[in-house]
Amino acid sequence: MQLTRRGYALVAVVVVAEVLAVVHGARALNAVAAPAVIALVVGAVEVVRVERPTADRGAVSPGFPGDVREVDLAVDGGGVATVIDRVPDGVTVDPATADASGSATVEASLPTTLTYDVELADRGRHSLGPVLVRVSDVLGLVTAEFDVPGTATALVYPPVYQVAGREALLREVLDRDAIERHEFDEIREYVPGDPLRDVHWKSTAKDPEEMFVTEFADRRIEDTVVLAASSEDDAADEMAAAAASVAVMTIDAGVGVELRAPTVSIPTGSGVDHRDRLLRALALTDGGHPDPSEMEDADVHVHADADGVTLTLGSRTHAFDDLTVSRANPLADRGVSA
Amino acid sequence: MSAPTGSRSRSLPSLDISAERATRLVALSGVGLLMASYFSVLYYFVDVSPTSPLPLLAEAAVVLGLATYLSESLRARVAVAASLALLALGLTVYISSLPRWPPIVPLVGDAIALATGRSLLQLINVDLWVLGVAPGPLFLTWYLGLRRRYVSATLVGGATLGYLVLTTDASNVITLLGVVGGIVAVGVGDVDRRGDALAAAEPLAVLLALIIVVSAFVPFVYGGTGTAAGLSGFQGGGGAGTVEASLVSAGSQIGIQGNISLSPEVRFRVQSDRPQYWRIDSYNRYTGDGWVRTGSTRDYGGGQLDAPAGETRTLTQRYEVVDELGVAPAAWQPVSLSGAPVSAARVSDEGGFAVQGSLAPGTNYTVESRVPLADPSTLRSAGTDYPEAVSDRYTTIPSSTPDRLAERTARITANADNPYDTARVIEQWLANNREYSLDVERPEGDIADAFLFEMDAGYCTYFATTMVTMLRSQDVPARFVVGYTEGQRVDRDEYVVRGYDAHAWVEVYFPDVGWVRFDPTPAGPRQAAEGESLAEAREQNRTDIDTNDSTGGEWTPTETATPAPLTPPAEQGGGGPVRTITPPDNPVPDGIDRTAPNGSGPDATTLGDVSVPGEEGDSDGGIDWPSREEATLVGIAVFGIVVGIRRLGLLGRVYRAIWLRYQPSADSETDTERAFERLEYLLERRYRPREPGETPRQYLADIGADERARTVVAIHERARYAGQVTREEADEAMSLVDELVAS
Amino acid sequence: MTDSDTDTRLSGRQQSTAEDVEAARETTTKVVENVERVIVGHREEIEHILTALLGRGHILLEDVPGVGKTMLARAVAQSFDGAFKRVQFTPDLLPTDVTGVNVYNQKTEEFEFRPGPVFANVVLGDEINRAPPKTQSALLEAMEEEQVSVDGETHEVPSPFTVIATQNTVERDRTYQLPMAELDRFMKKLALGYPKLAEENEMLDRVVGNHPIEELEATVALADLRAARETTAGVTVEKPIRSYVTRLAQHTRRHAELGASPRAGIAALRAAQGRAVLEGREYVIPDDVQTEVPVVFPHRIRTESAEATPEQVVQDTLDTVPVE
Repeated sequence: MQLTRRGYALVAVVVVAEVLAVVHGARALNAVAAPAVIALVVGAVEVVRVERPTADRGAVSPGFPGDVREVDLAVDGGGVATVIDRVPDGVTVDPATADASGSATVEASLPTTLTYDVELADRGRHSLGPVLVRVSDVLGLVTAEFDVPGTATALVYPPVYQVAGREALLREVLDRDAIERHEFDEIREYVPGDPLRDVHWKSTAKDPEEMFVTEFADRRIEDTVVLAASSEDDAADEMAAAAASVAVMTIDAGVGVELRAPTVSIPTGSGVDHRDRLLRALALTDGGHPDPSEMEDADVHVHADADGVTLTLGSRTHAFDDLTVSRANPLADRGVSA
Repeated sequence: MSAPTGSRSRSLPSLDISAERATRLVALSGVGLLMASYFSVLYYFVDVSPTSPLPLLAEAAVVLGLATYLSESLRARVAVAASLALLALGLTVYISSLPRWPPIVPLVGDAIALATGRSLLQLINVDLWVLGVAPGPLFLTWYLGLRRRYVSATLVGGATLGYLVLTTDASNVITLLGVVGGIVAVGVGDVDRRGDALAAAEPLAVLLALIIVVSAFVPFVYGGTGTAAGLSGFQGGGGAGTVEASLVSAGSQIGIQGNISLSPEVRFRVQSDRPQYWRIDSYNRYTGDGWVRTGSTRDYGGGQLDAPAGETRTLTQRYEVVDELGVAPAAWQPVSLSGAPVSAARVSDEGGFAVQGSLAPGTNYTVESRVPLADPSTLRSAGTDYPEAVSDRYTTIPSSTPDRLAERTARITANADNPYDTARVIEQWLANNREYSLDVERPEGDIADAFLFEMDAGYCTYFATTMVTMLRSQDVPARFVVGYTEGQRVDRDEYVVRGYDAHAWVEVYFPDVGWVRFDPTPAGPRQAAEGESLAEAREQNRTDIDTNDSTGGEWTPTETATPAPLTPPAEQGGGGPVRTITPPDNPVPDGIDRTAPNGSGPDATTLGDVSVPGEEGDSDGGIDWPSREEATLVGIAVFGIVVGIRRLGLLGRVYRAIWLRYQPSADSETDTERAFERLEYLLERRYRPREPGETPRQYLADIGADERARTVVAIHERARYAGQVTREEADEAMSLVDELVAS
Repeated sequence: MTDSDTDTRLSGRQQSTAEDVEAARETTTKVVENVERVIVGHREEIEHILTALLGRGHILLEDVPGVGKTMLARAVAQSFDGAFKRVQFTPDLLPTDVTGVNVYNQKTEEFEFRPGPVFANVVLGDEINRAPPKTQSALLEAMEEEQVSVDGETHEVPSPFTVIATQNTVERDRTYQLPMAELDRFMKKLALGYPKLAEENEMLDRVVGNHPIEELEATVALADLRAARETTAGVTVEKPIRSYVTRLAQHTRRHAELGASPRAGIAALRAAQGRAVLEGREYVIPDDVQTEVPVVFPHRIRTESAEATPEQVVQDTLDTVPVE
């Protein structure tokens, strides 16, 4: 519990009144000193007795740099309070909703709700909160501060750009698959419904009655790509952005992606949920290199360093910038904000 | 999205706009209350002075209107600068109106000196001072309040009120009202700036009630009293208990007390050919509840002062101080002083001597005085052509003095056609129609009016105050004088003066004569009271009440001595004009002495029991109505107490206790619901409240409630979640809960 | 999700009487006890499966292999004389492997519909997260619509119908994780843990010799179970309950990245209806909701993993949201 500026001023008033009363006579100074003392005492009692405030936060959904999220925080308790939420680096508070020091603040009587907007900025996981609640008495003379625990995480994905080379990628993948396909195949009888593409003409021609089809041992209707990412020289953000762009493009093409990033790996998957999983992984990964063994059979390799980002597809290496069609987030066009 | 939003927990959506206005209105009224409190003191100054209050009111209206009009457009810095300019301008105008233009440094020194507890009423042209000083603070306080800068507004208003507190001109009640206003302004102002509902300010109401009640009875400050005591608007210095203290040590202002006592200690001895009243000084300004001497004192520096016009007799007095004296008594009208205290002597604008510091026992000094000599016929024909300086200074009474005082005085003195007779009539009337008493309850309101219409008895201060006021109401210049009566005559020309000889009387001005003494206090009872005090003190063997030669009674001349004619022949047989003492073998009290034998002449006016039909006994029948200010404070306190009771939920508790025990019957669903609520409340008090996420079944299981409670819950379940409950089930639930409540 | 959403889905039926409910309860309890003769120590899970069956819901079983999932599913089916089919999902499984296919019968010169394994009362889909998305959606369509369409023709699945699907948590390599949109279609997610020591011992005891499952007989008739399902749909759900479920769902949406959807709320209400029947009540009380929500909600909730797990979010929700 501490006195505010007003509180100190009032104490000074009391002291001056007492001194003047002693030196020059009481006059009406009682009517000045008495209320001041009572107000201070009552204020102190009010603040001491106040119940510890509690806070309930809403979760913040992940997004890309530049996305705006609403943060809301319900504070419960008694009395009048200034509520100050701690905003981490990595997100910026919309200046229209911030106070002078750049933090998100509201002054109200409890219970109250504090809502403000933040713009997601840096890649990674950022913790909002805990919230500082400064409860004061009704005249603003005495305050007590409470650090109310409870944080919400804002996850910021790396930025995603539009990448060219979808055709090359698919071709690459299908070619590779084509090679793998022919191993471990079996022949079996045709069942209506089998795609004609799979008909094994050699065997069928030999048999007048039956048709035969190839049963592929490890047939994947959906093809997948192994994406590896590495970086050095503090270029983790660039690496993540490039990898994310490739991953999004690949998923979009209907191809599954397995991600091997320096500090996190995601097994194969496809579809929207998997895309989000990949973005989350790339949001969290540090820079560096994955296990060398894991990089060997990677189909696509993204590497970032002080000189820039490169993308290696099979045997060919490109500068990532050359492949970038636009810096606009392709997902934004579809109204996807994760 | 604009600024961070906080949601209000108790706002009424549809009434939001007017709710905001209400909050702002309350905050502004706090500012207004603060302003009203210091304005009322300023108004009082103007009221007491000769000027009408209208210019001040008009000025205030203009200033407030201007502030309101400019509140949106004017920037704060400009407003502050403008207020300071207004203040400077006003003070400059005031200073230029003073008869002597003092240099800056003493001026500032004066301003600070006033803040050490000297009332602003001493200022010459205090009405001009008010007109000059009022606009600045009024403008700035109101402007800041309208701009929602409530703390700043309170600081400005508080500083103004604070200065008036330090000069003793703001009473406890007024100050408390101002403080209350400031608290409301700041507290509700915060609510307004936050955008909260007015209900958030409820704790403020409780705080104010607490403040008003506690500060009414408990002193927080050294030497202070609670607000309920000392309601006098006029602080006359602390702890006056004797007549002497209330008059003699009063300095330049006198507050009129209630109960008072007499002190028998010997103060000084005088050697003088004739007995006189040993005068200290007079007061020119009446405030309604006290006297102020305006103007300043200057160094005496030796030499001769002005003598009165007209015939005078020179009287030399030699004083010997017995007990430390803070004053230098001298018979009227003193023209020179010599002796040890000369270097410390000062002269006031009223013509009396004062000393810097005090005179030690054993100090001797000599005063030469010119005593005005005029017989009644001279005085009667003196006319009414008063010099302007005299009529300006000595004929004003506060505008708030009730008109009935002047009307009554006019009736009483209807038969007097000159100022001298007027004065004598009033003097007689008061002496005959009012008793002498030291046991007096100080009246509220105007002292003179109260003494004339409501009180039966009083002591010299009351008599003298009333006579001066009555004279002034008839435009006769008169003033209130303080000093000592002649004391105990212990030798032909020696007098011993004690504390109880301190006295207040009247001086009336006559053109070409000067100031002439009148004394309306009935002397007999006064001397009797003094004698009693002395006898008591002698019984107690006190040592400071007698000198060697004072243990006897009054000195009587031996038969050999021929009594000198002390009174000019013209004085005999009629109302003696000059207040000289008659020979001691006629130790008749002063007042009665001047009573002319009934029917002795045309100048014997109708005296004595002048009863004006219908006007006797005008008092209010003994009801002591609280002043407006006190009523306001009490009102606020009551409001706060009511709010406090509500907040403590005491009423709610009482209601709950009843609700728990008695349930009226409605339909089965409502009954079951209510029965369940009662059960929950009961279990909450007995065990613990149910957690939010706890189902009733879990709750009962956890607290181990008995079968009856489970049954009630089961019935309630059916009602609430199955939608069907029979009348019998509802009744069963109710009666089970009744049982549980009783157990 | 508003109260009216839940209203239209659940109302429009006759309110079930106490007698109906009592009959249904008896039926259900008999099944549960019958299954317990074969399955050791999973009473809660058995009850959950039955209440899901009553509420027209499907179960996602997440667990390690070999703890008796197949046994459990089979025992349930056999207890009411229902058909049981098991499908092992593999990466190359075709949709028609699930739904069935029209086969040209050379003798009759017509196409005949050969029903796939989905045409059973209890379908155990093992490791469905290994199947390709098209095959998964064929199963999900059957669950959702209670019918399948092959070559333009629709065939209704039998009644009662419930799918018990499993996800394999061990092999993380090269699997297709079920997307959230599909997880949302399973009413409940249960986890069969490894049995306790005593139970495991008893299990092994029982297995020596003929496995009891071989001798398990039906204790109730198929028709009885159908009736029980009807009764369940008629269990009273008053407004306070609907409001409670809505508030629970809203709370999870506020405190998780992805919270419970309106479908989750409906599922919770249906499960609660089943629970009410099992308890022998013709109306749902909050306790029923609180019993079901911990298995109905968590698999539909996605949290930022640094914070709480979905189970914690649900528990916190149950603790915080007032019951009223």
